[in-house]
Amino acid sequence: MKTLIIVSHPEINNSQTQQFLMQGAKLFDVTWHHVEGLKKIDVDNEQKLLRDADRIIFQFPLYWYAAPAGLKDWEDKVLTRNFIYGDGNDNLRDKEFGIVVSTGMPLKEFRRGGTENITIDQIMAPLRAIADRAKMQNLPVFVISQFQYLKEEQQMQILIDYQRYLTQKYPDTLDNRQEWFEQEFADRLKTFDETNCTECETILNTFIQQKEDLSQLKSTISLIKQGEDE
Amino acid sequence: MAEDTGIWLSKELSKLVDKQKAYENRAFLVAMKKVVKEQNDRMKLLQGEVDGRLWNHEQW
Repeated sequence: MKTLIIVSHPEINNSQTQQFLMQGAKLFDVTWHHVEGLKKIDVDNEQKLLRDADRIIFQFPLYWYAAPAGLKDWEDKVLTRNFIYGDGNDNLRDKEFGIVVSTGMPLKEFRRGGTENITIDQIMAPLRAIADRAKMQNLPVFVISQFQYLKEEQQMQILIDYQRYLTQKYPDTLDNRQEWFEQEFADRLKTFDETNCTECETILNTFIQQKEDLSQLKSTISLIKQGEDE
Repeated sequence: MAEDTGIWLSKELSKLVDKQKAYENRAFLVAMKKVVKEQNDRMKLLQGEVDGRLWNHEQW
């Protein structure tokens, strides 16, 4: 699966959050594409990038309940009517669409009765509308609130959750999480320190065994349920 | 049995975390430990459900 991240931040080098995410996005088949860093928006090239991706992510900090102006400018130029739905090709049909947004206010304030009194999903409605028009599959929004106030262990969790958001199969079920960790462990074990491969392989095989035991239990329950219905 | 395996797996992952110098490897293994815990919790629930359904006298 190919993932394209359309990143918008007018001062990306000064953003601790974006720099952190950029390190996390260094994964196989993930493209980091910073719109303010483009000298000129080449519409054909941008549309080709979108066509080639299976999962498209818009990533930005929240400025006055919206994405930065750079992203809107990019949208207005690249997402032409013909490209989205006009020419009958449905270029983005069935691709997955995700949003990674960072906020300066705590997430709990983005709800009715919170100090922001509006939800993140309400704020994202215009982007969702584009995705719907393009017949894309919407993923839940990935919100990072007050990144600089997070403890190291919370930031570590965000790094991995973000990587899963970029590359894990949708939806985020235990089955899909297990599959992701199994695959990634196998890929990453070569980079682990002070460990021989036998030790890692035992861990991986045990993890897979646990996954299969769970699946077996689910089948057993499903068989019992069938019997109960008869 | 499967629960003991899960606990063992969790301990092995902790040992592996302690050996890692790279931030990203530590982050990955700590997150994986959480999934191992999730596996274990789900296993306990499902085993309980199997027992409950097998001992449901209304189905005897």
